[in-house]
Amino acid sequence: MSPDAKREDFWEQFDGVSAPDDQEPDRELPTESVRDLLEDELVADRIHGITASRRRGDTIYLVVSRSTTLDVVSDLDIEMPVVDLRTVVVDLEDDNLSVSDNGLWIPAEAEIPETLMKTLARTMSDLKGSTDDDAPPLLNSAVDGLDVELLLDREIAVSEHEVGGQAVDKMRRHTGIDPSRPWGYGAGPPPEIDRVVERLEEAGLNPAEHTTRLVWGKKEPMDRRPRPINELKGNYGIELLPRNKGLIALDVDYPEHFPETELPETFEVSSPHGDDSQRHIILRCDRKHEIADRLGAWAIQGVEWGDLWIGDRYVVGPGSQLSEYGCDNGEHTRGEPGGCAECESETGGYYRIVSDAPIATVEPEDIFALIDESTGYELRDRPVDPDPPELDDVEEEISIESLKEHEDPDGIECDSCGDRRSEDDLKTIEVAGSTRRICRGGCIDDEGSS
Amino acid sequence: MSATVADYPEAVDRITEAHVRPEHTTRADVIAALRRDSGPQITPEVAADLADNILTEERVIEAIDSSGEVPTESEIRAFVDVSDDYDMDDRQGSVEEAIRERVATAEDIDRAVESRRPTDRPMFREDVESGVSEVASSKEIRGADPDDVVSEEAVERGAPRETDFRGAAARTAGSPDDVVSPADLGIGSQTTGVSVIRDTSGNPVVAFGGAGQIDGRPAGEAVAEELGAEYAGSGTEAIESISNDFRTSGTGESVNLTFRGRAVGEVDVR
Repeated sequence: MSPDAKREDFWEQFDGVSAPDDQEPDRELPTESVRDLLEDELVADRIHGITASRRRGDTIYLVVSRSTTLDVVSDLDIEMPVVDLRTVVVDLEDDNLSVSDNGLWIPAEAEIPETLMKTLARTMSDLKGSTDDDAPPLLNSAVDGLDVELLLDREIAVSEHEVGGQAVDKMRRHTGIDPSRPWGYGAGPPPEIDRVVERLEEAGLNPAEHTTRLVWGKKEPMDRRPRPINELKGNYGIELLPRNKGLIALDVDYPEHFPETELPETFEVSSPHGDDSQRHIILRCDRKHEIADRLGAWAIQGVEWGDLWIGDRYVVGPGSQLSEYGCDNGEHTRGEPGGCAECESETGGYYRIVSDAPIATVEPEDIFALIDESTGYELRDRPVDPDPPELDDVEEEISIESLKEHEDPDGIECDSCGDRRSEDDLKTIEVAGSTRRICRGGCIDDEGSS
Repeated sequence: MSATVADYPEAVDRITEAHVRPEHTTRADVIAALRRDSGPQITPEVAADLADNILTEERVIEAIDSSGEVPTESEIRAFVDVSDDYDMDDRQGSVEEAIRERVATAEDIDRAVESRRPTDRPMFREDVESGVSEVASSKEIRGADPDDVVSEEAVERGAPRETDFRGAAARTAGSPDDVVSPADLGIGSQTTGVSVIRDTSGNPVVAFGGAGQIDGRPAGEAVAEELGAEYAGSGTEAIESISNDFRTSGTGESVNLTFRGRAVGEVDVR
């Protein structure tokens, strides 16, 4: 099938979506030569030369040398004469000519392009292989009295810099991360992410909705915002999400207490601490809300073997590595220097896949049976608030005292419970022509529920 | 304005206790009960005055409508409480129960919309509409316009209209802005381009199309390998496969268009 036929065949699948070139094919449009268009688009006192540098299909890339002024090629409001080398893209398929942002300007003084020609000539020789690979760069100067070699040897103060939003210098000073892995320095996530993507897709889940960025060298989240894979850098988490269908995780810290329940083989990830029996068991359930209803929350702790997470939690992704600053094992404190031997080692501190099986699907009854066989938690008999308040910290529970702390002594009184709240925390309503206010989200009673 | 019976709480209590049962939760129920059971002192005007002022479903719904938002389950009790000017606890219980059966809550809508979240494709506004419609078929949506509810829920979930999503996917897959030939990469002599879809960071994600062979395999596959991208084949099967693998991620009025986990573009949510 010809490319045109393939293209038409493809567009036919999308009813109601018009192809870009579907408009009035029979109408004859006025034309203009590429030369004229280029002269119109480029603000130039003079065009010195045009070089075709590349062609990709019907797209041609030109490098145009022109004389113009600095205010044309930069944000500076200075009419200084400059010579500008600029890439111009000519698209013969779409009948389009565009001046790109890819350009280089130099002062419009003859000595400068003359000196640059030597640099370009050397560049040409290097590309042709006429020079040795380890030949030092050609140094020359168009500035009187400036020796470029002396300039390169001069020492200047440096400050910490960032690469891709990560403090590279700081990272390099912290021990416990394999320095040969580029992903920790502004590059992408560890290669194990590809396996996670496969398993999530296998389970009918969108990876971009479940992966989140963690702080470099730690297991803390950056912002709990699910991101596409290409926006991850370094350590990453797998978000469970508080939805009716999707992932749940069993955080098995004390495997010796884990019930001998028949769970299907599934995807499991171990932490750097302990052995492989201490791991996160990742499952899928299509009726998670039923579990949340019986638990009264999207996560529970205090089960003798560890934690059960239904949503609103994340699991550290395999391939992530903890530095000494990310270690909280035993007496070590997260954020403080000095971790366990595993995390202080450049070859240790990894979260690893210990069971590379497809994510298995379980029913709520399977989880209820697991809880029934465990000690430390009792399932509720009746459904509770299906919209429980989100916990900012896994370790923290909302206390009545902390709820009362949300009262604003200078705030406005709720006409139902009498608590004083800020205006944003109240809803303003009209009852028979009179204005009244109630707590947004419901009043909190003396037992701490709303 | 002259005083009415509503201005005398003891009278309201006495009359209501004698003639109006807690299960008379609507204004019409109250008026009917007063006319049926009461004596000549309860004129139609008195009955109407009482029905307008004591706690009824209509009074609570008026309050909910004035809030401009769909109520949450926890707020229903507060709405009922502040709508009762006479502290009639028995009436509060029955009116609250009636309101809960009659009026949709934010949780009802959330559950209905979430139950429609598909597993094999992105969620669309049409799914949200279906969820809200289901709720509207059995309960009243009060406090906000149902269309506004759909729009808010769609933005919260990052659910674009299906046509917008398909259009964005078609533009990305049907006319990719990157065509690379084996000759460009120096791995073959073919000049026929291979289409490449790149993520928003510029990294190649998938290559498809091309013509000819290099070292016994399709030229497109060789280009894909050279670029570090997946090879999706060529022809309509490739385009169909690619089209089926687009998803969305994020929430808000503009979400990422993703391909196999990587962001390759954007889709507006409206």
